[in-house]
Amino acid sequence: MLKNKSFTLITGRTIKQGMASVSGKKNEGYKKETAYVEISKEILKKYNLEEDEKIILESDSGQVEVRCKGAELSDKIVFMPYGKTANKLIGTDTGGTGMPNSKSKVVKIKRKEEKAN
Amino acid sequence: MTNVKEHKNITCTFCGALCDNIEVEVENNQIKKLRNVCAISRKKYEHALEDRTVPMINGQKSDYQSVITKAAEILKNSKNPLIYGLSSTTAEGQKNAVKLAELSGANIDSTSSVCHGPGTMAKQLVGMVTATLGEIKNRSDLMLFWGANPVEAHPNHSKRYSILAEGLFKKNRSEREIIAFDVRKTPTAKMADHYVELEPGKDFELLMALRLLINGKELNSEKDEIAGVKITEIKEIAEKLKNAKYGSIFYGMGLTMTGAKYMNTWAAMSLIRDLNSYGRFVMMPMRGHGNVAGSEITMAWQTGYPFAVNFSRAYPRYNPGEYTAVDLLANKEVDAAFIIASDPAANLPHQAAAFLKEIPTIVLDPHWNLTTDLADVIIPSAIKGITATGTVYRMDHVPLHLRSFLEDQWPDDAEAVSRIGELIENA
Amino acid sequence: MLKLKNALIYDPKNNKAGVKEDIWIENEKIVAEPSERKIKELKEKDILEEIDLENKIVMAGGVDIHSHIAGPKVNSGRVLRPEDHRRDNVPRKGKLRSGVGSTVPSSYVTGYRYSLMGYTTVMEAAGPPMKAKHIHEEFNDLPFIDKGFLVLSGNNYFVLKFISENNFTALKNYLAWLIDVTGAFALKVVNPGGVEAWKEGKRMRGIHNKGTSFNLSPSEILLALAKANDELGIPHAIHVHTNDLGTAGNFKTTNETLQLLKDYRVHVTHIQFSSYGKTENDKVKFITATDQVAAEINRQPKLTVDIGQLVFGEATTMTADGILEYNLHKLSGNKWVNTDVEMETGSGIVPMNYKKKNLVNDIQWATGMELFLKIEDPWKVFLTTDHPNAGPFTAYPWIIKLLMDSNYRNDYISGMHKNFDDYTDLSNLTREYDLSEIAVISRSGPAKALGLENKGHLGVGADADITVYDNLEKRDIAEVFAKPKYVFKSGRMIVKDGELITELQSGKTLMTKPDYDPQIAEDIREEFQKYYSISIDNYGVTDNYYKKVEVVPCNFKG
Repeated sequence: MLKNKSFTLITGRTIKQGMASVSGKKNEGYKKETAYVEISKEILKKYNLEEDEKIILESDSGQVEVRCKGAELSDKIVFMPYGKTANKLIGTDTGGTGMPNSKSKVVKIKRKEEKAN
Repeated sequence: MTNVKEHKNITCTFCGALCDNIEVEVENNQIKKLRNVCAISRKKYEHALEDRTVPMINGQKSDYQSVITKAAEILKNSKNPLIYGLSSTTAEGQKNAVKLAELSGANIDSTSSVCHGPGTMAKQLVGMVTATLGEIKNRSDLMLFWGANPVEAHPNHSKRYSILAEGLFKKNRSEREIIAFDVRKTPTAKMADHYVELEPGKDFELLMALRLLINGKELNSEKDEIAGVKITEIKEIAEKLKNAKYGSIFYGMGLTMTGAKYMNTWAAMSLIRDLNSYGRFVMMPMRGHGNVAGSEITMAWQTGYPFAVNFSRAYPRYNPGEYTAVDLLANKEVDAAFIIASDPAANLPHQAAAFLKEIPTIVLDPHWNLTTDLADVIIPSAIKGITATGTVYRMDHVPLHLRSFLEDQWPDDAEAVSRIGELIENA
Repeated sequence: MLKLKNALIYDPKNNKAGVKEDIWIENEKIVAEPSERKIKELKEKDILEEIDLENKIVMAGGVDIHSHIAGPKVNSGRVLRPEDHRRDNVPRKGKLRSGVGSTVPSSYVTGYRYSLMGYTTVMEAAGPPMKAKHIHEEFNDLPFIDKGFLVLSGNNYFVLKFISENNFTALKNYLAWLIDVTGAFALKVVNPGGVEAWKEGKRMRGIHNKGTSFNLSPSEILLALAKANDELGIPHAIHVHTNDLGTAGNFKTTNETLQLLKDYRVHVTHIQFSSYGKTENDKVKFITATDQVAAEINRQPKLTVDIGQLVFGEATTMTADGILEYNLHKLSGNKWVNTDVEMETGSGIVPMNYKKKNLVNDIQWATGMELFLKIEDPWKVFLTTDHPNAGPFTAYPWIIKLLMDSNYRNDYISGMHKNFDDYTDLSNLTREYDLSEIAVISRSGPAKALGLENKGHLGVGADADITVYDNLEKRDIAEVFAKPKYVFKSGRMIVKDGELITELQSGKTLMTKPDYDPQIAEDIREEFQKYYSISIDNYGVTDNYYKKVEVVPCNFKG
């Protein structure tokens, strides 16, 4: 069951996110380039998720609605370009270091609409 | 009459690689041509004069002097303010910000705390063996990229300083071996000779395994693998590390942001240190923002500490985890914020950034961003390296002087911060 | 105009030892006593300020010839050691900025503590050219004192290349260009050839073996640099940190170096670290070799040295000698920073704690003291701790007490390791420095060696950098030197009764501008553009980094 499966959320840089971030943070481009999640293609297939489908990512700090993209990834992780959307999931625990869990947050994927596995 | 002016050896300030070979052609205060820029840099220059901030107070347009006065008033009336950002301003702006923090009894922290700050904490435990980028280009026969993806974050890095650069002793790609360690096969990993995929959050284990091997210890694992990597492969890597004449490791947020935080970097620093008993080996934090290294440097010479500094006692105190921005905001400890050249609303965890809405927030930035949306006071500013001069420090602490080549109507960050400081000092 | 009257003047350059005289100051300088008519006029206009220094000792402001106070290595040491600062906090006071102290103080506190000790000129000991802007940025936040920096040149690519090509003209032009574009004061030579060897993963011993890809021996590098330096007329000698520094038996290398360079001006820095003998079949290994080294120094007329006196307690070693810091790390297990700087130099940092119960540390301490006492001419030997390597500069008053009071020194020795006398002969030395000799080793000598004609003395025309101490009667010597009564910098009082006046004041940056053919920059351009990682056009320090500059003329003639 998809809802039982956990992933480590890796946030990070992409070239498009970088380009969009210097082309006006308020522009649509920046929002678009920071509001998707990359998921292993096998996972997409296994759980019958479609490319570009809107899904919900959820951590113990929040949830976001994002489009999913298939990628060459391990089935243990999902990847999001860093930005406002990903930061809704990260939480503020720094373990006394000042650094939040920007590459170590556990997330789950929820379908936007329930459909058969 | 047209007046085309060419500017050479301009420094791009986007990322910590600070390429200083940009060529710009300017006509009528407009950029006409750009050379040697990367994809991000091109966008940055093309967009420089657009989406510019104007002086605002509580959503109303104001004038420059009024926003400066208002900012001083907020900081002066605050009991425990936060000054945050700094990594995209000049060293001159940073120095003035430290003085302002002292004058207003503030906390001062840079984006380093959510970037390579944990690496700096690790350095305070073990030290770091490092080199300037040219040294690595000239000598390094084995380059490791660990949790770092310069192809997307520092696009010209590989060409100017590492994988593809022409060096004094190492002339080209074929004279270097490249190994990439990551949890996903990034574009950088695709350029490597070997890609080592780790299980997420297991960097510490793999680094310690390598360290044990190079110190002549045995590795045991029931599964015959550590961090998802076969013991035989770990042994092969250890041999390569030992045989390098001048090895180098570029590390990124893949070490500082995962579970063990500064302990990952501690393990990497300890490994690299130990490797110097064989050949030479150095490491380099892939600093993200153009002058984030400068924020640690300027703060250190003025206060003794690199980030996470508190001035409530009229002298600097240092404590990451307490005086760092995420903690101060999440714990709702501060009662005003002055954001300098940064966008915490986009880049900090949502619950931390959201607190900015509840306290008086001043933003000093040349461009609109997500944080200007929730600011009470907006101070416009000239753009460093384009319309403002100043000093920036590269990821390897090499300082560069920025020239300006376009006109601007607003003073630069350094002047804005200094004017606020003067109002507080002379009040 | 300011008149300091009835002062007991110790001004060795002008042969004054406790002479009671007045000092007149105008426009930052010491001036001759005005005519009676002028004095009357000043009094009538009420613009003659007088300070009565009856029974006070007056010397020129202190001059430190070698101290690590600013720049990338110092700052890296600050970042490395939060534990060094935490118990030494300096709050903001008036206009004086806050900061932290201990062995690597923040920039402001460094300026405060030198000033409080009556020092007004300090030479930063080692700057990598590529990061010179950083040094000048820090200089602008280093208040009160005048300062300059020594630019590292003993392992520089172009230096080694031109020497190996026997292109002496290019070498001279390059060195002068380097000093010019980095805003440096003079040339520093650290473990010549040995740092390049470290970067190549090799080890070098002595000064005669060739060992790097440049196929040069340290002696070839040293000779070429000493000759070029003299011909360029740079006011200061080449400032040498010897090969094999810190190792047992290194006095041989040191003496060979001194003999090699006997026809040129040389300043050998922190020579304490270069004056060790070696005991075979003994696990201590170290023994002082001060007889041999002092004898060579006493023999040579042009040579000067500073000591780098060890101080027990916390220290932070930092040097361009990368291999040395690697060795210290291996020896101590302490945390270690190394930074190789492309085409130019290396560097390293390791914190240390020198302990009285550690016999090797005791021997190092004795080596420094013995050199002070065995070098006959105080104009050849200067007071330093190689701050913060052998200890912090704030220990100078204590070292002065050890030199002036043999009873105190012997008492102190009695607390040393029980085998102390087997490795040292300090206990047999009875010499005591007098106040004039202290004035020489702490200001007049270093000023002369640096070629600073306006510093280190109180004659007419000198900079009005003046320190006023209480007399020594019934007072602790260290206390007197730690807390001057008054300090004047450029004619303005900056310290009164042991406290800083709460206004910030900027000192000058001291530079030299030796002549050169500017074509040199074009000659090196192609290689520079290829093998540096920045453009040659962004390399030099631009004028915006210079606040207050004094160019010291290059008028040395051999």
